[in-house]
Amino acid sequence: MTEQEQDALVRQCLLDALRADWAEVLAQAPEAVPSPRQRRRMNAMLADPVGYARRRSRFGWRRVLHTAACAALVCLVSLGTLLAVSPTIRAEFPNWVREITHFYFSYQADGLPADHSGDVYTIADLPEGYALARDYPPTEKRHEHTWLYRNGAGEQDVIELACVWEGSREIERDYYDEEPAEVHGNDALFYRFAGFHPHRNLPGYELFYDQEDDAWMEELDPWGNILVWTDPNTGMLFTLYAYFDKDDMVRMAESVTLVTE
Amino acid sequence: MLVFYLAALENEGERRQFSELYTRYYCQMAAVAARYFPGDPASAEDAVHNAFLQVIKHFSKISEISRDEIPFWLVSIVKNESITLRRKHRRLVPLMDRAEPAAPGGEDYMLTVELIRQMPEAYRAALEMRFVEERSYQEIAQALGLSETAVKSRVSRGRTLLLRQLEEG
Repeated sequence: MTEQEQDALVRQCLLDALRADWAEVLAQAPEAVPSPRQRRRMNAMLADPVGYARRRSRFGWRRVLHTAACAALVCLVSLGTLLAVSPTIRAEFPNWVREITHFYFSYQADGLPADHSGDVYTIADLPEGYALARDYPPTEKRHEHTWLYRNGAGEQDVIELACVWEGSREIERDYYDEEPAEVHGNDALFYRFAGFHPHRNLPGYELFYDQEDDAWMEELDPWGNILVWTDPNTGMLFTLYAYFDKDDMVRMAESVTLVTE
Repeated sequence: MLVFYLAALENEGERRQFSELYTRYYCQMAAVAARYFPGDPASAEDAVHNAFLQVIKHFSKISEISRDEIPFWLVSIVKNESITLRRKHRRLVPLMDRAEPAAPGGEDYMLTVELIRQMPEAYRAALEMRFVEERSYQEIAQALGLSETAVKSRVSRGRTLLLRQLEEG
């Protein structure tokens, strides 16, 4: 008997042992009534099994890290220590006024000298499988240029690069934690998605709020992280939105290149 | 990588097949998980949900499983996900302490099946994960909280034991 045949025989024995143990249980299984929480994640899984499983595999450890980070933050803030992860991170963004309002981390252009509507940028170091999917050029009212990259697998696997030379950009404080970063040795800020506020009505999402169940926010699709930096030569603000961690996003940001011809 | 496993679930036909599998066997898998979490329906639901995530991951194997084996393939997965979850909840994994004697005068094969039924759950789980669910040693190690070396040793010893039983009776 070959090794494969032996493995097949062992497998058959194990299956028959399972059959002997569980056939009666399966035959008499009562109708299961899933809880609202189970129904919600069932629906999310069945709607997009591939995307759901991928998100679960990618974000599980991030939720653990986020919980641990929040616990550490609470402990240290209570000691009156100013942390690098607090909202008052110092960062230099020439030609941009950075403000922290009640709801937003806000960036407002402050006297940029030139129009960059003709500039085209690309991310040279893209993760495997990604390609440019759409280009949103600037308009009369919109002084920014955005490039959308996809890898074809699902709605959540997008990378969005934008350069802005006039106007403002806001990032919701409710959903993001601010961390320092560096792009080419210059100040940058990384906004890590921290989850949804349970009482905010989000357009485009079907909301369930169960008084007994505190975990319903997990059923919403998580948002990506955001990296913000400026180009010291042009003064433009760049934002990178992707479902990647800080190191990967910094690497992508550092590969952003002006396309000439 | 997960992306290669999930490639099997990319087309509409396979997604429909998964949906039918879910609908058809949910109650039965819930009944299995309930045995591991008496009085704790939330954890039982978690085990079932995690089991279906494993099904997505290993969906390409569905075509290799005969129709009458599918329920017990699913039982293996939800049972072992229950064990993994109980370990994470820091509860003891119950030994399947069966007092039933081996079938008298039974064939070598049925004796081996009985041997498996009397095997400690932690050992049986490693064998089922390897031979029934075809998980990698790394995945089994992660699920059972063991080193890969310990898993390989456990699987090898279990396999040798079962084959010896089949040969010797």
